Amino acid sequence: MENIIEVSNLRKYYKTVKAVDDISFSIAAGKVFALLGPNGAGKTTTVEILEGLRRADSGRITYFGKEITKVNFELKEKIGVQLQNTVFFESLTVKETLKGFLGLYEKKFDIDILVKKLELEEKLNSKIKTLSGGQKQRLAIAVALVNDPDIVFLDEPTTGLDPQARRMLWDFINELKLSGKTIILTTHYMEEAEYLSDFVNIVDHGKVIACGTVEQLIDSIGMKSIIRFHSNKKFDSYFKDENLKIIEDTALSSEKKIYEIQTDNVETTLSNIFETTRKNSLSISEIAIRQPNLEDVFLKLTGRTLRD
Amino acid sequence: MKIKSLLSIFLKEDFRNFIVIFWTFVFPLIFFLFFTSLFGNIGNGSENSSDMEFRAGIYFEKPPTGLAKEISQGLVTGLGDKNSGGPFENIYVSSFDEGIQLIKDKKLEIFIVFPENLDMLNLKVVLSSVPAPVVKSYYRSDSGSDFARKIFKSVLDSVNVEFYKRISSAEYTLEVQELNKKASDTFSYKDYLFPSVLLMSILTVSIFNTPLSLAYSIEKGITKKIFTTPIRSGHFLTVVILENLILLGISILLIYIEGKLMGVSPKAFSAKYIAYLFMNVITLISVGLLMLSVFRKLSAVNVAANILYQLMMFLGGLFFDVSHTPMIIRWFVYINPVSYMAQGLRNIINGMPLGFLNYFVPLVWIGACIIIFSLNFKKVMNYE
Repeated sequence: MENIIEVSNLRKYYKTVKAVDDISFSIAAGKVFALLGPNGAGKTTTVEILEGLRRADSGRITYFGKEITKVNFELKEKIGVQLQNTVFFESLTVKETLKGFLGLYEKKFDIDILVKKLELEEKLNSKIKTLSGGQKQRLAIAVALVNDPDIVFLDEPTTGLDPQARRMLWDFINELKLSGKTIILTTHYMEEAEYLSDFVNIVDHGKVIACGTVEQLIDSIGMKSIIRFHSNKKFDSYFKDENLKIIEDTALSSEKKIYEIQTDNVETTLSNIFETTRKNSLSISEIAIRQPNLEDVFLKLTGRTLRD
Repeated sequence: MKIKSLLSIFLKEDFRNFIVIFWTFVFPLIFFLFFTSLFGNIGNGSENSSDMEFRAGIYFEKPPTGLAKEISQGLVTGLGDKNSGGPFENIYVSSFDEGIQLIKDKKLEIFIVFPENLDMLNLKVVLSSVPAPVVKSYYRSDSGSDFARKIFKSVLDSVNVEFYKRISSAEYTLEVQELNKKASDTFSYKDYLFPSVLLMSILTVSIFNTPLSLAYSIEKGITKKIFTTPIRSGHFLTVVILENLILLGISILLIYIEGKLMGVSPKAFSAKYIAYLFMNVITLISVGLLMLSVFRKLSAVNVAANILYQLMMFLGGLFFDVSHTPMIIRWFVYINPVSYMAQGLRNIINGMPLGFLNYFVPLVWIGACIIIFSLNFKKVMNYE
């Protein structure tokens, strides 16, 4: 498949801070490419270089097979950008904002369709200051699409949204993908990256620490299933297994902890847990079995969680 | 087309913002109306001057004769004698002490003393050892008395200079007729205030609106969003300047309509006046941009704008004479472009020519501000 963007050896330093440190990747046309990483990992700086908002210190960027030194205005006609924090003029209505931005491009998309798809019809004549966080975020995405771009940059599009609003945006992004647009998504939500992405780059401290499809990344850490449970006593004193990890001490009780254990054999491990519990008169609750995810990949690679 | 779209967004936001509407359009109009209603009759013979009365005590240390008598009488009536349509009721007192007591008792607003040696003005021969007569004025420290003093001050200063010249050189240049004209016909408070209100409005837009709106857009990320579109930073700056010029144009138009209704001198409507006013607009917008390039952050620009606005307005001679301020602050009067602008606009209204400095100082400011802003443009726009 044709690569719409290719980035090699991209670097951007702020004095001594290596915001982007020798990053390389390529993005195939019509796919969702995610940059996943914790806050401050360098995701936003990377996409802002690609959006033309920042200049790289070094590296090579190719758009549509052509190397560029600067994102020129011709290229800006072909991209749509939703920034991490988009601020609009508060006294303008949704319609005026969309029409205003529509006027900045040569190519124009039908804003009625956009408004309908993003469920902003009822708010069309409302001033921006009256919109909720989710509505503002949907407007930011609508504004990013007014020029019917080939490439859409979505920088943490669901941060701060409630689960329902997040789900609605995920569905919309999937629709965008189906319409053939290339989407570059930055997020620190592993569920978001898993649900939406075709290809994921995990970024930490300005470097790409892993890349591939979600399945490839998960397979790469060699984990099988994970059993998670709560225990009200020091379960780890009785159950000796190097794969047992304390995930969280709950705040309500100093003794209650959340444990996770990785296993290739769920049945045997569960049986051992129950046996330990019975013999030592322990109590366990909220047992859940899950498959490994990108959070586990990040944890395995860095020793930290994405939220750290 | 792109500039038009962006301009339309900015203007819509402005016209829905009460703060912008009030300070840019409403406040200058209220200010002009309020102050002209309070003091508009001062020195204007065509108005009902009986509404504004000042009592001036006149005392001659020795009754003058000849030319000295003629000059002193011309001066007294010329300063705005009520009988000749001026705001002063002249009260002749018989002694210096009586005059001082009357002013202390608030029965006079100003007390003018003609010296004993006034008759020296009758001498044709130049005697360098002879001291020139000096007309002195006494006043109280309250607003009425201070106001009367201000009206007299410039005239008395000129008269004393002329007396000095009369004594120390053979050339006689004092014209009583000219004094009459200055005191009663030329001084019109509304003509005095009109340039002040115009400059105040320009200062509001250029020192507050322009840099603050740019700093806000940059700090809040509005410019960042705009720079993701095919808009150049130069286009963006053009839009912000056009936006503020449009706001200012409307504000100035409204002040002109009010001025017309209130009978401001027709000279304020001349092409020369308007052209000079436009130059002032460009100068002060440049100063606003300079301020932005120095301070950049919204909070710092806000503080700097407030300080600079007050300094430029009050030390620019908009509302009172600043030529005799203490030296510790007078330097600012000298470098303040507003001082030259206010003087220039008043000169045009008074039919006097614009001086070299009225052009030179604002042009130096324009040049310096544009150079500094251009050098800092990328940093100001937070644009790499």
